[in-house]
Amino acid sequence: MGKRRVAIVGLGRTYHRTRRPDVNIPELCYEAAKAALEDANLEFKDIDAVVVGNMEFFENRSMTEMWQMDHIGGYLRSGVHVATGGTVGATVASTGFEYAASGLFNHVLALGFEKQSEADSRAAIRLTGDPIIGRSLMRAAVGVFAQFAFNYMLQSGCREEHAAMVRLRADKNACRNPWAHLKIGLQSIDQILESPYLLTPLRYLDMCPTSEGAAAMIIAPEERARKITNKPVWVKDWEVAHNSGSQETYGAPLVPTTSLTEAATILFKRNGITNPRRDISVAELYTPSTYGELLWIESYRLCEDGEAWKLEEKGVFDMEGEFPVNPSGGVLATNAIASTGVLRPLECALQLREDAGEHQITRKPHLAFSTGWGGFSWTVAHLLSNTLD
Amino acid sequence: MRERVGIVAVAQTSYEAAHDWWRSHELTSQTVEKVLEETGLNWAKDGTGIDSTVSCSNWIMEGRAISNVSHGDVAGSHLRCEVKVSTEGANAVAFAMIQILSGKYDVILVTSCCKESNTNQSIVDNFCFEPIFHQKLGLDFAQAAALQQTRYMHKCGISREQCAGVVVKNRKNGLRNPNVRFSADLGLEEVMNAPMKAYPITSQEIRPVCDGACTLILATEEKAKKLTDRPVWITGMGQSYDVHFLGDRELAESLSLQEAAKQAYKMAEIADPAKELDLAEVSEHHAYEELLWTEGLGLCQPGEGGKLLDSGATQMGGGIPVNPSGGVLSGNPRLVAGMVRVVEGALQLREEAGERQIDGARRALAHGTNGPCGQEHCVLILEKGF
Amino acid sequence: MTQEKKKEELIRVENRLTIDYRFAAGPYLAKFYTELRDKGKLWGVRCPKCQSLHVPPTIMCAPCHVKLSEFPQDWEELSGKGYLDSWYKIVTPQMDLLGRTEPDEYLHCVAWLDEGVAMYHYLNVRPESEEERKLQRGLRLEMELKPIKERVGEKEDIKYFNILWDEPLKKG
Repeated sequence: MGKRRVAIVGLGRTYHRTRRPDVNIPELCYEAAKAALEDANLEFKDIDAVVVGNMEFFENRSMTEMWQMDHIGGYLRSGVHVATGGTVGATVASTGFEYAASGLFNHVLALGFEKQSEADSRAAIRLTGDPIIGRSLMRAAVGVFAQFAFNYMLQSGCREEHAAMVRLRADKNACRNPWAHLKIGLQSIDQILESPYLLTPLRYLDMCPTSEGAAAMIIAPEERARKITNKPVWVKDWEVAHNSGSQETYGAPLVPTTSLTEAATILFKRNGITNPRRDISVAELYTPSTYGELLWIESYRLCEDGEAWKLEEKGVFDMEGEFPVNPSGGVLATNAIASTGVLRPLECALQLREDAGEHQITRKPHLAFSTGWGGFSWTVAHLLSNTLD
Repeated sequence: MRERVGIVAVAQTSYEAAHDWWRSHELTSQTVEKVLEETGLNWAKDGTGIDSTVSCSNWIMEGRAISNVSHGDVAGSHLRCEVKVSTEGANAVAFAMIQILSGKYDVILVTSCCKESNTNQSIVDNFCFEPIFHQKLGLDFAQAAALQQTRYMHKCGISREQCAGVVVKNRKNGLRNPNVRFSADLGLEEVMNAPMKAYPITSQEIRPVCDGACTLILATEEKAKKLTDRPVWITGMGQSYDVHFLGDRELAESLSLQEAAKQAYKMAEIADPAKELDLAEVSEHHAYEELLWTEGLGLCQPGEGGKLLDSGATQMGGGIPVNPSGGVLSGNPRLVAGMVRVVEGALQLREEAGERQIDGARRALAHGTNGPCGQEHCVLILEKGF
Repeated sequence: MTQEKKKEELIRVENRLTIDYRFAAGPYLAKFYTELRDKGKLWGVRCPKCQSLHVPPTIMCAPCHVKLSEFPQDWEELSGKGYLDSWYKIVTPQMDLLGRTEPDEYLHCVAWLDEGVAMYHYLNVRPESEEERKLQRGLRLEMELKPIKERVGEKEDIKYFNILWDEPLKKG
């Protein structure tokens, strides 16, 4: 896609925790940037451009990139700060791809971070509501997911135990991923079905945690990529679709999933993918809620409508399954918003390089699908591959 | 030979002290309508319309998290691609250019809106500084600028009269610009004796609080030639960040601006900017900044920004007119200001600058800056394409 | 070495962002709110292209990219009646914008208004009540406004949706 082909040549991230009181924002970002550079065998002076993303307000800062730019190789270098809501991490990745493909930069650092304990992120989410209409009625992002859950159960016949299965799968995967945040050690869905509700029909365990951490990737154009690593992860294509927020409130059916279908349909068509679960080896979807994951697997056309919960029952999405989804534990285990957005293509790259260690999928990976989600059902979808064809 | 990126249409609202009648996305909508009308483009996704949108706004200034939600609606983001950059307007244009150079999109609509009257800008500034040291000092950008101006005056012998001279020049230029509201024919004494904001900066030497929006459309060379018979090529682009901690920098010079200018001049193959440029639109949020930025841009020797002003070279009829539009001091909101510089530069090259037209202009420089004491700079070189 | 590190004091700097905003309502919302406050009328604007109704009125139909008209062209008054689409109860109280955490008095709901547009507001059903157990999709709803003296021109001028228990359920 595009005139120049680009590849991810380095990956790095921090451990994700509820709080990281031992570092401030630049130090947190530095950890991830350093890890990515080490992975690529490069140094800070090699960076030409830095793309940074986070949710503004979540750390109580304005113009958030100013503080840490020079800590992550941005001194006297080009850079940009993107902030597109929940999709910011995925946008950081696609912006990084564009910077590398432009012909102007050789080593682009794409970094997403979030340090949510430093401010009230729920208050900040409430600020996504239009200031004049209905902001007072908003109850953070969970209201949207309660809507998704409600509607999905009615439309598809899915029951609460299927959402519990999604959490169980995420937790089992997270326990095999040293970098994940939430590792509960769940053994059965009964433990989940006995746990308390947050907002009916959602339980606490149906939603993601709030994490702190950073993740970074080094992206390079083709000529450079081949010199840096013998395992470049090629960026095949990506697609973005936003959704109108003009309903002025924050709740489905006011938040449909047509944008997800739009992005996926266009992406698959453009890349000759006719049978997604066969053509794609692994998917890292940005899904902050269990019901959301089931619904969106359908919205992204990875299976037919109403089928996702049945496939979950059969173990199709397990790490050893036919079509592994979120082998890293996904957003349900780790959610430092911008960082998690970058982690989706990062985890895909890890799988494609067969470097994921304990959470490597059983299936032989060739093509990976990673997504971001945010705002009023905005989405960014990427396709990554370990071969250039 | 890299394919060129062109500006095919521009539009801006007037910059009022407070656009109290319109919401910010309604302001954006007005400018988007204009550029769509001018080019006849629509939002088709098949390559015949606009491929993507870049919006530039800031959550804390808009008072809304994910501030581009409303802007996106009027700038065609529904089921389409839109990216919000949270940097300054000029950097947003550079960003869109990079997107086009990457080959991903051919035609991009770039829009920016800021309603400074929404909130207290000093608090917004204060929350940009890192929270452990600078923020506790209660700094805002005006005070940081005061620090920079004092250092600059001390090291390079710049006088308060020279800084005030920038205000006099720019606000007078602004009288010929129908979009700005703070233009005036002022005297030096008037500027220097105005109430002190942060010594030595008076209230007349600071960008006034404004609301407004502007939009432009960028396209690849091939499409640009079809969309307009007056394309303006962006032949050079450079962008760079400096360190954040004020104490880590020599405030009397701007290394990040020099770096950004170097990148832009190299791409545009400019060796002697003062001679090869016909005009420069620079973002002077505080009066002294114009002097300092002309040095960083290489329009004069380091330390000689004041002398350049005194020589009259940067006046309307001079060798290198700076801010014929009236500059940011005549009233442009922050964030949008850099994009307005690009728009004004493009208007000059398209021969649409009305009474502020520099005759025979073929090459212009547009500059944007963000962050305390100009931490980030973006420089774009524009060339007449017809 | 680890012991020494543990004794290192982690300094935390406290900060509070208190920032006032003044927002312009714009011609569409200003009209919507003044009509609601002064006349108790709820208005929406219809897109001339796709015929979808926008409540509250807004400048553009985003899917169509069509500019919507200012009052009164294409504006339609709403009956305030509709059907219950979905609802939920906040089990764990959430903090509001002023930092207060109080349990919600009422359930929240999404109502499908007769005119074909969804609206999100309170439902006149208290949590843990008999009525909550009887809730089902398709129940007929009617909006109730606050008395005119209490209306100020904000979304809460609509008090909540009342359930008309005696009316038949909407199927489908």
